[in-house]
Amino acid sequence: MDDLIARISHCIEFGKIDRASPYPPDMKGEDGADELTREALDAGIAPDRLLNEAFVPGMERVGRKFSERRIFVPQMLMSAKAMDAAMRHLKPYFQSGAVRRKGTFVIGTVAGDLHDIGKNLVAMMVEGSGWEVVDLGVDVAPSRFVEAVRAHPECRAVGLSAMLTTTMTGMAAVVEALRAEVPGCRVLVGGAPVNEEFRAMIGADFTSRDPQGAVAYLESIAA
Amino acid sequence: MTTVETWNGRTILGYAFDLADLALEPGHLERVMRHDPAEPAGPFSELAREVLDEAAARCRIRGALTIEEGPVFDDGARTLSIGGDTFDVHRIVHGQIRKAKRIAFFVCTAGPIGEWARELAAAGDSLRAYVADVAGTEIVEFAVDRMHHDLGRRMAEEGLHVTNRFSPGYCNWSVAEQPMLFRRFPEGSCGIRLSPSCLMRPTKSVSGIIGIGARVKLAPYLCTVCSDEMCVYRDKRLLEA
Repeated sequence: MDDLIARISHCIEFGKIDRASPYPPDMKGEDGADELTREALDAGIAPDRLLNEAFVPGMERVGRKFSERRIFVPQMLMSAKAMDAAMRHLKPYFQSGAVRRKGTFVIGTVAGDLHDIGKNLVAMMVEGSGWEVVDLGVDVAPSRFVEAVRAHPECRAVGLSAMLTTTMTGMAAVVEALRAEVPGCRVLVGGAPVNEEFRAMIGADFTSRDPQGAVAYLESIAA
Repeated sequence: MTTVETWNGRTILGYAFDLADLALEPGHLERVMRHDPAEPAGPFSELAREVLDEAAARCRIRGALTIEEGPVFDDGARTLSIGGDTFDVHRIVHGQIRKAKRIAFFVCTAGPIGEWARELAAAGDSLRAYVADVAGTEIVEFAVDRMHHDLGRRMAEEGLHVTNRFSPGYCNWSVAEQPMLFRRFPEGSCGIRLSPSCLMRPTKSVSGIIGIGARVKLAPYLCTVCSDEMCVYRDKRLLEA
């Protein structure tokens, strides 16, 4: 059983999606996260154990390697695809309530900004750490963030992304709207021009240069 | 292919490229994505090749460039005034172009490659979407490289040099000044339009300026004087002639 969990975690870390996937080359022809997760569930391994002992640690290692620049965006995306393939098997358990997520995280790129790669990476890493992610996409008006939080009572945090100096100023309006309408909700901000000084100025709760920082912060508020 | 037209009393050079003209190789995309092409072939080599093949059919690479005489630089405010407009170009850009006697304004687009990348992402293929996004960025940069090189060649015939190119949105130059740059060109030039927040659509488009003069030069690297560690151009040569 433990071996199966370790193999799933390994598949997620190295982006082995399924048997048909040729990546990584040294695992060609082997079962991937998809088949192994099915096998684990059929063998009676509890879905919450798979989430917490295989998926989350696998993605944690991915996030750490990305932070340390030992892997880059493509490898991270392959890992996210492997995690998706595994996570699909757990969807029925999430829906039935047999497995609970840590909370809901709403994320979007602020109004006037069309950049989404950084936002997508954060969304994948947060989902892989056991959160439900509601991705609002790009060019999102402040009111849509507020509406999304209200529509998801388990939402504990919102992530705002911006790539440009001119659009990051729009984060202030979102923070203000969220503080006024949903005061308990934490706000994370990120993107190329965002720094700690700017975060403090607009009154957001957290900023990080990499997705793993966001995951660690969410972990701290989930505890 | 280069065309010359006159619009509003100014001369505009028009450029049109096929993807094949740009000699953009899959290996280059892999290096940009930080995958070493010498490593065992994963999905990246094949994906880069597939994406470039499809991009060739989807892209519409167009550029335009116009030159204005007589820029005035304010060394205190670090601004560039020309043609009745004042650009707040900030320290880095000002320092590189302040000896210019002419300014070239340019716009260029790869066409709807960024939009295609977004379609792929919406369909759930995040990896291919990322590769398409990188391809769009590199296509438009390679095209502007060609325009930059062509400008350098033309100016060299007059004994003049060109600077690096600089774009609103980088080196602290605000994108809010895009409308001043875009009014140098006919509305919708190259198929590019500005959003209310001054972003270009198609998204894989570039605009900017290049200084021209006898006492200006290309600087191989400028990243050491800029604090933006996440800039997409960081540690890349700004112009590979």
